[in-house]
Amino acid sequence: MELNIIHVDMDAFYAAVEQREHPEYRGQPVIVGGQSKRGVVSTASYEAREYGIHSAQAMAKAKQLCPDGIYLRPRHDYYKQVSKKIRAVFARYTDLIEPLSLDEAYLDVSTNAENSIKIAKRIKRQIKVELDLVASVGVSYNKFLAKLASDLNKPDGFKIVSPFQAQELIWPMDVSELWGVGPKTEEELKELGLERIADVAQADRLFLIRELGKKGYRLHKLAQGQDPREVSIPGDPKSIGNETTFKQDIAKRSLLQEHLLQLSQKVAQRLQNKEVKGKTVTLKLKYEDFEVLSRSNTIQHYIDNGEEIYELADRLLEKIDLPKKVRLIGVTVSNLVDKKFEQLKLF
Amino acid sequence: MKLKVNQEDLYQGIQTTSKAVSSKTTLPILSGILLETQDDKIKLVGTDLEIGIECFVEAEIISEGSIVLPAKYLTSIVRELPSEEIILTTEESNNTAQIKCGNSQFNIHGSPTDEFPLLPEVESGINFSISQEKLKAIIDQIEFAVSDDESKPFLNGGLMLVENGSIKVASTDTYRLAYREDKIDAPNLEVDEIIIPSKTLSELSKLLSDSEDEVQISITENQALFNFSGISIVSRLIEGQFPNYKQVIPDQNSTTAQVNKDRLLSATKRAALLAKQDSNIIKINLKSDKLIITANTPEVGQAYEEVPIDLEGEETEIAFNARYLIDCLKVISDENVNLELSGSLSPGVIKTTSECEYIYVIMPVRSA
Repeated sequence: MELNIIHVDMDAFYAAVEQREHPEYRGQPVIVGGQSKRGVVSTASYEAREYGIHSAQAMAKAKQLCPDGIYLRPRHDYYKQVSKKIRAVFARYTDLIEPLSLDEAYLDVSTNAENSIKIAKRIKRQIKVELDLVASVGVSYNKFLAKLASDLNKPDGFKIVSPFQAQELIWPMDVSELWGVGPKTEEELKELGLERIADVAQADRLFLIRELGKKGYRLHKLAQGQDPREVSIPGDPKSIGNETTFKQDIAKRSLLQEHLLQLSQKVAQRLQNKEVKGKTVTLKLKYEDFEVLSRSNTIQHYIDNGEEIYELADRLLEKIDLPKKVRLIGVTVSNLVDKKFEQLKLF
Repeated sequence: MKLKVNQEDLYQGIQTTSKAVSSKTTLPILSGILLETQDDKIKLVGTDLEIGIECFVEAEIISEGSIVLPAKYLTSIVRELPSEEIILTTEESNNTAQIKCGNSQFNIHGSPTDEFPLLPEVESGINFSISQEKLKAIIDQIEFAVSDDESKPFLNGGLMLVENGSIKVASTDTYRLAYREDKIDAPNLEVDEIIIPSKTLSELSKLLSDSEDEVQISITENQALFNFSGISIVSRLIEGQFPNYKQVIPDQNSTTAQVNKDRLLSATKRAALLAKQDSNIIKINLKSDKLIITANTPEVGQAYEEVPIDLEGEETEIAFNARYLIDCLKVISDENVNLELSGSLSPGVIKTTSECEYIYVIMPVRSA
């Protein structure tokens, strides 16, 4: 078991980028997120976190907690550019990069002859020197422990978890620290009397499988510090979609159609950028009471233009009665093929 | 009604008519089969209003009558009965039937016959005949290329016409076109283009035998009637204009390759195992003495196949959906076929070499 897996997680990424661009924001509570009435916090700088602000919090709530904070609208395109530069640093050491989001990635450096701890340190330093940003880095022999490690000494963390330390480190932890354990599984585990990771590790494997199925098997392995997931380069997307939550819930069909047209054009643009076409169009609606509805239609040929996508999505919308106001609308194209190959037609 | 009938004869009749019975019907009566005595036979009828099948089974009629029985139960009951004489008795006052055979007895609830739709009478139209074997062969060579795209109903069937002493059939799903013609023994006969629904074609193909016996065909404006071996099939015709198939068949080419059909079929099937699953693409390279098929699924691997050919004209390459090629080669019985191409973006043509009676046009896949 070699320490070949590195997890890199940027500290308060969006806020840190803004602080880098605006030296006057340094040391100040910076909160990046949607500024509308219903906006939520995307990232809060560590200064802002001291006020109890955290991501996914309602913006209104954040403003209550810290009225004098610096509130900024996210600049996704810019963050994407920065993220590309970070990935370029990774690429100096390995091709096996699995980005999880703009600010987080797994690296597998087993093909690099150099010592992985040295590589990890160099990546952290180069990000700091070249990009003036701080990354927390974890090194271990699998994904679960590498991510856990990068989280341990955040911010500005650097942690190695070796096979010898793994048990000592994770066994006292709460079961919610296991990868894939959300609130629901946490509750299930605790109802079974399994509070700590050690309890899961020492529980009977067959008992866990009986109670939790496949997940039980996986959790038992994880609790032993074993995680078979490989670092994989993201493949072609299976679908491309876009959705939008309205500032105010909408009842009017024509207004929904306007949004739908815009979304269809965005999706078309993304399909064209990726050089793919699709033949299934899915319409998604979320009503004011959060009930979600989705309808899809598959046609014979592959499409990638906004009008055609809109036409199909609108036909799906027509069949829906709209008994309630709509909070969110989305359109997705799936069943994708590479546009490099196109089946020609006779007529 | 009371009658005696041989189990095997009745089962065969039920199986034949049940092909027209739709499993998902909004009219409950249509899920049944009509049984009616006629002289010394029982007439069986099934229909889904698009297609109707009628056939006769020899029986010893003791008293006359009729009833409609649920096709699903009738089929499975008669199938499982011993191969002996069945005594079928109906009680018309409450629409029940009693099926007795050996030591078995079933009482089945049926429906009154007056609710069952009569098959449309085919008024005198154009009449002609053709051998069963021939009709089956020409249907089998085009049926697979019929489109199932419901937005283009005129492609959901096969085209048929008769002119200049030939019967001509064609089908297309816009990606490929299958065309077949054959001699017909009626020099003055003219039948304008009709479109026969794909379900009718496939039931005809299943019910026609490989015999010289004739099929009597009657065609009216919106229906076709096929009579053979004691079976009648009445089918609605599809309205609409079938595309001009003649325009689509190329009349010249720059490459002709003669190739053994079985070798090409096996090589294509094997290469297709590694054709990208969603688009099924194989590449064909035509060299002076061989044809090379390659397929590539990046995550899995590559396939390479060689087939010897006789080439006339330019060396070339083309990409096809493997399924379209396999579909066509499967229904050809000739030893050799000609593959005719005109570059990698023009339609490819497969012809049988014995006579110029079968033509299959496939559109290639363009790769950027």
